[in-house]
Amino acid sequence: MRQKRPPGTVVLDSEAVDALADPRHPKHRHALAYIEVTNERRARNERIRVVAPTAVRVEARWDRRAPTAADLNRIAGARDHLLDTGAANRAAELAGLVPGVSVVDAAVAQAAEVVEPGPATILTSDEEDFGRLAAHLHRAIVIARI
Amino acid sequence: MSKRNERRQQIDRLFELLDRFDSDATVVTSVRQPAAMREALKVAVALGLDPTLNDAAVAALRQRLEGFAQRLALDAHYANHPGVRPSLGERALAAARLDDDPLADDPELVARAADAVARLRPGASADDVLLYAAALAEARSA
Repeated sequence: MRQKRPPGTVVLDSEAVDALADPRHPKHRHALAYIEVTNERRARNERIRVVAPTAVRVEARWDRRAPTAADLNRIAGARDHLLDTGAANRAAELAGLVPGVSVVDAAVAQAAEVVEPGPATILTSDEEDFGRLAAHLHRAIVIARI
Repeated sequence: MSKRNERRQQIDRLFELLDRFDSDATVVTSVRQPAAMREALKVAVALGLDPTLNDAAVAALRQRLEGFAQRLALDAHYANHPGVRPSLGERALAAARLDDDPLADDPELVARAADAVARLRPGASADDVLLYAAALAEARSA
């Protein structure tokens, strides 16, 4: 039987960032529902973080310094997950293991594998690619569809 | 300056300061706290909560401040964009999906639970709804 696994960290994929960034986006309200849950849990002193892999920020054109990003910076409450040398090596390995996945998908999967506190839930509209990547990760992840 | 503008400036200032957390200098301060809390913190640190008492206190305060600031930002966003605030049912379904809760496969039950919980408890959380929905599911299968 499936057991619920509340995440310690929510990892944003590019589609989630796109949806959060634009109030006219068809999934904006839907993406906000996830952010609201993290905020409710934080308010109860539960340890839960939201992270945006830096590769996602590049793909979503999320420049934190831009005045247009001010709202997104504040409502997402997301910290960066850096793509340093070790992370890049692992993301490259994952991209090699799963043909057809994008560089960003591999970086998101790498983040989900290592972020603390665990476990991690990836917020994405691309369940299929992350389902394939999940099979190669060292720990179980949850994929939530926006 | 109007109270609304003053509040907006205070919120801007709050976010400016939060952005400086990782780069700013540290200051020594004293906090009056229950003696038992300080002892409990020492014991918790010894048990592995955080590397030091200071780390534990800063992490807790940081989490509280960031959550509070995010709440203000979300409320301001809804004021500027009426209609994008997720309903209790939408938040509950999002919580179920985040948690890989089997209830995520039964959005109708979650929606029914959200309606009932909203009537019973104004200000209810998404997790209140999931608990109620889990009880409904349990009763249904009994």
